[in-house]
Amino acid sequence: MSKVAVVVSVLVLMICVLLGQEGFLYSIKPEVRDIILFKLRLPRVSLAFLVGGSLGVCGLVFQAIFRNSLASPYTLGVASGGAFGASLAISLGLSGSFLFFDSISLFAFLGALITIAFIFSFGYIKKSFNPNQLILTGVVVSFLFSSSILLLHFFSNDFSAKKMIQWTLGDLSIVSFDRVLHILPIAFIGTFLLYRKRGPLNLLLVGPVFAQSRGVKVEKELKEVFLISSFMIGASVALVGPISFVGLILPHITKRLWGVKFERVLLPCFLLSGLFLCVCDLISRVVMAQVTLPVGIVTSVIGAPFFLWVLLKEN
Amino acid sequence: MPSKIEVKNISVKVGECFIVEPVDISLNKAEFCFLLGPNGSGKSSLLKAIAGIRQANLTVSQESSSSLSKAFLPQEPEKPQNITVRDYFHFSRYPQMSSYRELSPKEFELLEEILNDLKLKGFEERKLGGLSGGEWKKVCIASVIFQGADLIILDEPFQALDQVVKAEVAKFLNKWRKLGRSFLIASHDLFWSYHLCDKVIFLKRGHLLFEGGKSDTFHEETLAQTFDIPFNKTIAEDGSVYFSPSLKGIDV
Repeated sequence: MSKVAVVVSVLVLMICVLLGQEGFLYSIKPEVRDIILFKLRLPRVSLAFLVGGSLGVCGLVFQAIFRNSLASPYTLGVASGGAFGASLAISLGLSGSFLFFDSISLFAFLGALITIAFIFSFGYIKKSFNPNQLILTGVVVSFLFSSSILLLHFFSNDFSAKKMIQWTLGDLSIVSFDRVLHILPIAFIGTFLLYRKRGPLNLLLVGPVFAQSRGVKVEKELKEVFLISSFMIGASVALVGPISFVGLILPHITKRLWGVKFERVLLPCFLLSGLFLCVCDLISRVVMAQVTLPVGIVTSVIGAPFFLWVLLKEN
Repeated sequence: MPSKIEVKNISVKVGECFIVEPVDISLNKAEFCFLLGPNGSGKSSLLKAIAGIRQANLTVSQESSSSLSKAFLPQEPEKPQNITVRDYFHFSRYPQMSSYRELSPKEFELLEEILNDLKLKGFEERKLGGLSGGEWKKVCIASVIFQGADLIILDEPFQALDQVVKAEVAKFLNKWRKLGRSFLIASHDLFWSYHLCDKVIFLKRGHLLFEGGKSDTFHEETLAQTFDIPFNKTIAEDGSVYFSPSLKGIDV
């Protein structure tokens, strides 16, 4: 990755921290400015960057192992599992925190992990880790959770229902450095471990038979990659809700720019996806006075036309 | 590499039903062994079983050393559209890497040689999706050789190739046989099967019908019994040998 890319990203990140509804903060008292910059914006931008990066990398990996350009980090139902966990916590009226996690995030994380555990055990029972079957299982599990969430909506009062909807739109607004510290190790260690699997991932990108005939232990690698990415996705979903689009589109854009080999594309994908979410978050903060839009709406509204434009430009 | 390759008592089953009955296959170093038989006789299943490729619903049992390095070309290899030919070769070399790395200068030399032999120079940056059927087949064959295994298992390597390219491929495979590689090849191309083979195996409904050296085993009668139709053998002035099914009873 070129130095230019790194410099540009640092600049973009700085702009994201410096810009906001309050303008450039020249005229504000230094104490207030410090609070806004370091207690609010810096953690928010860091969180957006880490979550965006994790989702982008997992999307890239999922598109490779499923050999399906529609695959995203949420293909296996991890997001809906997480959303169900969060909705359950909201409808039970849980508050407070446990082991430094607030209860909604904790429930969402558990929901995400239980989903992946379920899909794994399904594979064990069927004695096969066929990617198509995994996708199908994931889609069905997603439906199951989606309707369970609707059921919770149905029985909840207006306040919790609104809170659930807000959560499922993806929300970066409740930010503290705690949350950054929760995802930081998972994002970095996860990405590092996936980078170490770049060889097998490259071969799996060609196909399972190709990989197997070249000495890759396909099932073992698939399980490990799923496990690593589940933690990354689960943590992202738990902290900010299921933010859509980043994990689907940014991998495509990075592959167009850097090719498909994992050693070349993995880190740029993290960087670009992270930056994309930061910029979307910036837009969500500044586009309307007094209101911060849910970032999940901005990612799709900005991302969809942009990607269509990329598709049009391509011959 | 061992001087003799043996796969003992290998069988393929669906449930309790044999797709391929237990067979022993042995071939020497630097030998071509061809596997012939009608469609659905179990050739591909057997090759996959020997190559150690998992097949859904099939159980494979065998008693052979797994230390042998094998390369395998399936009948229809997976073809990802947007990978370049160069990267495809890079990934193919993975078994020779203790941990994933770039190709060494020596490996690049080897690759150049292989690409030259199959007239694939200049294809390196092309995407697999842009290759014609024949070009893709050549890339596949070349990549399986580039993998650097002792035993090379090919399923229908001559399929989709024109007559000139078939001859190129035959020459290429023969060169690597002389360099000490052993080949196990399933094919419907009787001309090249006959001219290349050191050894031949006839398979019919999962059952090993005949097995032996070229001169003892590869003739009209064995072909007729395997395929259930009479065969003619023609020898041309240049020594080329042709086997063709008899037209008797066929209205053309």
